[in-house]
Amino acid sequence: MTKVHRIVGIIFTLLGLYISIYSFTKLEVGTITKPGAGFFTFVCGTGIFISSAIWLFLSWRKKGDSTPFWGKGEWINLLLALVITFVYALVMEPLGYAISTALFILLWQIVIAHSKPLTIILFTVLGTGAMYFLFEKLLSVPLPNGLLPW
Amino acid sequence: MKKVIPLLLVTILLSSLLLSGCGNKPAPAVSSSAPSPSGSVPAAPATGSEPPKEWTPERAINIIVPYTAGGSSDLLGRAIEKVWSKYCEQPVQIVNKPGGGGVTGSVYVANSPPDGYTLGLAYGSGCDMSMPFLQELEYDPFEALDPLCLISIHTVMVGVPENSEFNSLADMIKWSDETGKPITAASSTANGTVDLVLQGLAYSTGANIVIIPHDGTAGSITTLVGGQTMIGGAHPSDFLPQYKAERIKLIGVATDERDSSMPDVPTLKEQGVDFSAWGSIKGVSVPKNMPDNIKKYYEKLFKQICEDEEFIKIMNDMGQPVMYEDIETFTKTFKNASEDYRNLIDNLGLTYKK
Amino acid sequence: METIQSLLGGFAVALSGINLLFGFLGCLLGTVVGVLPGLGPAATISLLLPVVYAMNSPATSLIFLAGIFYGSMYGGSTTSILLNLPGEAASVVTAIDGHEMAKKGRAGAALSIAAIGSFIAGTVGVIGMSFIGPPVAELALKFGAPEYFALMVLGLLLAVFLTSGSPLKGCIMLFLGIFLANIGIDPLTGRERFTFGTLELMGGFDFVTIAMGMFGLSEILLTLEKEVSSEFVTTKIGRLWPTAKDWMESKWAIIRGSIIGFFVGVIPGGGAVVSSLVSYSVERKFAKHPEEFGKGAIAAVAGPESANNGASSSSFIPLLTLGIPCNASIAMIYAALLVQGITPGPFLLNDHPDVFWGVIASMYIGNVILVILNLPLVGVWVKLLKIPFGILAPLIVMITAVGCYSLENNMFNVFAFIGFGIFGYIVRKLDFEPGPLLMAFILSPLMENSLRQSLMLSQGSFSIFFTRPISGSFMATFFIVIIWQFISKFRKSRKKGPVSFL
Repeated sequence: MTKVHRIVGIIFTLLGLYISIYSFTKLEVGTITKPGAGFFTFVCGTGIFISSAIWLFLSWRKKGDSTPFWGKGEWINLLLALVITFVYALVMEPLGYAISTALFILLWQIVIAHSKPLTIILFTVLGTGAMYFLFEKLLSVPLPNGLLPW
Repeated sequence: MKKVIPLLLVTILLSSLLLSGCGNKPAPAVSSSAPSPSGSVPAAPATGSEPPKEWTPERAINIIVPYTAGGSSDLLGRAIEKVWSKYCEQPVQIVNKPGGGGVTGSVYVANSPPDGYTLGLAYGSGCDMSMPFLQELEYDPFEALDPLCLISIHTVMVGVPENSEFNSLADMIKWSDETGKPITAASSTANGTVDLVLQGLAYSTGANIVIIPHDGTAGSITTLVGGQTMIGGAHPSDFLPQYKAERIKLIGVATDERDSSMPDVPTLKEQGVDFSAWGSIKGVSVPKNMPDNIKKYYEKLFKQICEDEEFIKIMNDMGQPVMYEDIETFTKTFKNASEDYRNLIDNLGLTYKK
Repeated sequence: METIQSLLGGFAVALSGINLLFGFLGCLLGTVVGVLPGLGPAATISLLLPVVYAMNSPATSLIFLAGIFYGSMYGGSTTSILLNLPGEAASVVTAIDGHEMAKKGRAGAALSIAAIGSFIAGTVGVIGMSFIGPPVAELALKFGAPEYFALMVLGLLLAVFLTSGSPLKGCIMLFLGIFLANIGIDPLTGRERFTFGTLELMGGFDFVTIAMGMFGLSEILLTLEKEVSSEFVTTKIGRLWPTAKDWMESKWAIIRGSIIGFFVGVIPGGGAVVSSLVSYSVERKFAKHPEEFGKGAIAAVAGPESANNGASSSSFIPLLTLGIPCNASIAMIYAALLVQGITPGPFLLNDHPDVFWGVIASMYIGNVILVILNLPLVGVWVKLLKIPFGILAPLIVMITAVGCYSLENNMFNVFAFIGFGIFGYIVRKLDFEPGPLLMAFILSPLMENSLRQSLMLSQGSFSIFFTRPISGSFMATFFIVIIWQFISKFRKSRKKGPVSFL
């Protein structure tokens, strides 16, 4: 079992423990016949704790499989996608929907998809435009305006 | 070389982020979103130094209802929505923001800019009247919002399933005393106005009432109609469809005088139960520091709506009395009600001690 | 027969020019709304209410709004199958096998069978509504807190068995789902749980955020790991229509699903979701090759899809016959009716028969319209999968991000969506399945409330669950299923050697 398995297993187990303890101390657990706000959270915290602990225990013993979690260099695209998406979320409100979406699609195509320049421009414009039209005009969904007047 | 370009672009993005971050407001952004594309750049709110001039809205207005669709507050909003266009050129959008017993929506209004495009409805409900005394809330209805006007008061009524053997509260209490069994009651939300009335009822009569709270009105009505509990509390407009369908008998209203939208229902006092409460006050709220001319505009607008015949008919058909009060009167009413709730909660021993 | 006469009268209403037009518009709009993740029918209906008031005709408005509602059910399955993006809670089950089929190039068959199954279920639903609607509604009223609890517990058990993987991992996901559902304000006491004082968490998480993240975004991240220049679906797109074999496997699934959906859907609160779960489990039991479930068995799409469509038809029953709305979209429709002076309830039939029967007839017509709309579109949707991933992916991310934003008009949900995407990616690589987490997330609040309400009603006694007939039978089924599972696992291990629980 790989390192990631172990880390995740430990995190889950600790999470379960934390939830149970928090429920016990901060929230009223009540009794089984008169459950309080913390009862269910306590039960599920304990559930997470026990099942994660069992899983951790059972799989720790299985040596076998040591294929790496990620292949060589496969994670670059993943990371870039996450960063771009994260930044997109951050700038959507200040910069406004139209600009940030255009930037987002643009960046993605350049950096991750390595598309041809024509494709890049075409889909940036089309994508942003179509979505804007669809959401704001057709469905009246309020979208952040940011820097632009509309 | 291939790796430099993406890094460069990300850097550009991050720097643009930093630049925009400087101008970013900490409050949840609300101002720039308009539900209708017909709006233009919002008019700057008049500041105190300029002479107050007539204000009219230039784009769509959001009225925030801090409860779910279909509930009595939402229905009030829909009634307003129906006649709105007669009195205001700009469209109105009723936005439901349920959660936290009404707190989520109220805080949303409080954090909105006082530019006249965001109003709150159902000001004076449970979250404003009872919650501040019951638990630690970051929300203070006096600090966060200003009252604008009153539209209606939703009284609390007590009903029983149509096949119930009891016809009055007194009968039920007698039965409970004799058999030693509790009276089961359905309420919409824990420690909401309905729930407090039921608790107050138990307190003043000494009856053994076991209250089953739900996750909203629909659940409690379903429970009552299904006969799962003996009685249930709700606002008249919540009960109305079932009352008209004769699936529920209404045995009392918890106010000093009978509710004008349902005059056939006797008050509890008439039945010898000395208990009354305000019910749920449904007023309009605005964020703090709203300029006076904007407030005046809406005061007048809502007065017109409340005098509109179609509005009155819709409201009465839904079991909601129309009771307009302007800013001054409403502010006093609000304070009085708040005091009374504080006393009730104190008597019930529920007051939250920090 | 009087009912048939009234129904025909209803058809006359529904087929009149303006009603037909708005019925069509509603279905179209509903399909668009259903395809777009994050934008639910409730929000759309809310936005369109002013339009509805201007119509001045309660029958027309109801037909229009109802069209949006079940149009969105059709649309929701489309994205579930194609992109592993369940737009609605009821489509989560469809996504499991439906998307697997799409990955094997069988998207066309999946979409077609979903559309046809939904149509048949909708028809069954309408017939049911017309003839046995009111008695079924009365039965639903008998559901009190103990019944809900027992039903939810059964539903959760079925959800764990949705996993083709290890039950242990399924349990972890289940409990995590319950935990996520608990974040926010406890409705029965008003206390804050795990909100850490932040306003955003006070409202708790939304299903859409978690579903989009754990299904959609994680799917994109997983695909990004492989060659990016390829298409989303690398295998050859097969035929658009289901094969004869598909029909054989699906026809009973559709029939069973329709009936399950109709009855379970009447229950206010859990209806469509639980019915799709029940259908999945039932089909698995009846399947000749149950090991195919989870890898693209067509019955696993046909059954649940029929169930959730049957449920969406029958969820109108409580509204029309009792005047009780059972979910957010129907609550909007309820509000629209009240404001127009129509009180839904038992007297609707007598006071406004044109409204009552017109709506039922329009549901049938709506089903026809939707099938006509959706079947030819299957070819179009399938072509969508051929768009290069480099363009499709950012579009998907963008649409789902906007969908999450539109939930509460703030960025919190978008960031949460990203977070869930990362989380989903990690756990899916470790062979966890997101299905049980989402199911638990949806069912847990109702389950918890019912448990506590039941105990309040019974003054602390657990016997209430077993002494009442309906909940008693659910609980009995629960125990039987558990014991059955253990026995069959035990039997398997005796034949094949130790069975790993991992």
